[in-house]
Amino acid sequence: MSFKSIIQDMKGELGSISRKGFDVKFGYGMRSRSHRVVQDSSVTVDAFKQSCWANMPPELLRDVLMRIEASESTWPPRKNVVACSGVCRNWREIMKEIVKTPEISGKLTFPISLKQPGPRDSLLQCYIKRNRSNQTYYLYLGLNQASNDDGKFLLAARKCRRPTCTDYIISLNGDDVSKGSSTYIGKLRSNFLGTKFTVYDAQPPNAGVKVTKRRSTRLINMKQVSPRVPAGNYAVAHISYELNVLGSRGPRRMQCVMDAIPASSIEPGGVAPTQTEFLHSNLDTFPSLPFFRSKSTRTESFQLGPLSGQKDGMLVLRNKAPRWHEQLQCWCLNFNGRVTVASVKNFQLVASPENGATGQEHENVILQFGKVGKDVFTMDYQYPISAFQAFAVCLSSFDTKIACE
Amino acid sequence: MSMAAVETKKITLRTADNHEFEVEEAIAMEFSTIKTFFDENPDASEDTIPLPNVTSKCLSAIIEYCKSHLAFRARETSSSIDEQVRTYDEEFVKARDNESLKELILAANYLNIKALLDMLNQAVADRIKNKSVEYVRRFFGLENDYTPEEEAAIRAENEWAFEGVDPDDD
Repeated sequence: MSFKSIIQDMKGELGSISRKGFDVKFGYGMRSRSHRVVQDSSVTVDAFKQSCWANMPPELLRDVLMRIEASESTWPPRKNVVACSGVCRNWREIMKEIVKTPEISGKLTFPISLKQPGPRDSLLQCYIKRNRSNQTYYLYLGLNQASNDDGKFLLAARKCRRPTCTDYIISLNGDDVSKGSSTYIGKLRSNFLGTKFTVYDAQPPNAGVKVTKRRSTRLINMKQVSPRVPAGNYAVAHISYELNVLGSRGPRRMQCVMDAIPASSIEPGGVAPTQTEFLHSNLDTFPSLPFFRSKSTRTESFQLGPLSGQKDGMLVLRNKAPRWHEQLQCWCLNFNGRVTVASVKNFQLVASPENGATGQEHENVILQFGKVGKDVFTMDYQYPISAFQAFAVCLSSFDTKIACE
Repeated sequence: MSMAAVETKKITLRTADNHEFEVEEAIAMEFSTIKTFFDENPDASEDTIPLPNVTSKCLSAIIEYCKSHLAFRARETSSSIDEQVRTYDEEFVKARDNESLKELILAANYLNIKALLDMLNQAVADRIKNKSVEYVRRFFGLENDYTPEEEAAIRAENEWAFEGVDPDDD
């Protein structure tokens, strides 16, 4: 104990001083063991004043940041957690360690949360607002159970019609929804007929980015200006719509193949890939990762993690079959009050039984989407899909030409 | 139960700026660092304890805090006592500027006074919670060690987080 040794020094005895304890408590370099502390007192005061906060013991800083993270648990106050992460590298490292992924905490914090699987065992409630005048869709996190007007902005998507297909460009910035923007994170592309869609991620889905050592990152950034890495196009999901056996008199059938999520993710003990950082931002990452543009690249060739073994199929989601309600003369699904207007666009996606051992349809609704107002729709999602994937899948529902009378 | 006459034993503490404080043993025992020392060296209680990391200004504030909290704890627990403790803590922190708050934290950490440290850490968290990144850097005397590209990414991240928030929200 450093205290004991100070006393012993004063009495002229030799004491052993724990170096670590000394550094941590005093916040600056250790003084020579034989130096009588009482003689140092005036020097000590000055050094103490100067070193003060910049050398704050890490456990104290961590304590303060943990308190902030714990108290700012909902939006809009959660913005303060993001702000603290922007103060300096040390703070960012600590905060990133403290903040848990949505899968564990059920909370969205950094923009990357939108690329990470949703919470297990509970649905994150969001809503989408459609703006017909600028062909843009806005995704919000619902903040208030009662209202679909009180939300935290998450993503925006703008529809771009082309001769042979339609693209929905997805961005983190509601005012800047374009492919060239630094806030571009992916897109949904439909085929000419509007029956098949592909979701593209601007960065590899299995990119488990590790935080590089501070020193090496600094060196690299000092030597060269890291160019902003251009976004790639990685297909992460394929969506298809079909008429059901009743033709247009029955609800359409919807299938989503989640290329980037293994079927095992929904088994007990399963995991889904979790991105940890936006590669193009150069924060916490090694800047020179290879990127390439391609029309419809399958992801197998890039950074396969231990999850995507040959045995593991991809997760396939299908829409839950509505039941025909004889008295009401309509197709019904139980949306638990989250959908209030009948619409062909409404759906609930569950894991398809062909993945699982049993032949029964899985009960767990992974994505739910439906109309609640003229241009307002709710979107509820959970593990193993992310907000980005959920949003893209819902957009396809707006676009598909497969309709129902 | 009969009680033996209790001497109010005093402990002498010497601060970094060479002021000596005589405090009652009960108060000194609130400083876990000192308590541990005495537990290991029961014969040392006559000695003056040097506190090279604590100024007299800090120590007198800390002694006041411990004295008050000991008095609160001696009384019967009730919601009105809790209320008084809360008010006392708020007042203790309110008048202090950021510099003295920092000094108190480092002193409370050195002396290992958990309740005071928790209270002060919470006060700092509350003070920087709603502030801009620049304010926080100034408060802590921290340098912005991001490159211009990283800074741009941070700004974009903050724009997303603050989107839709009233800009006068600081």
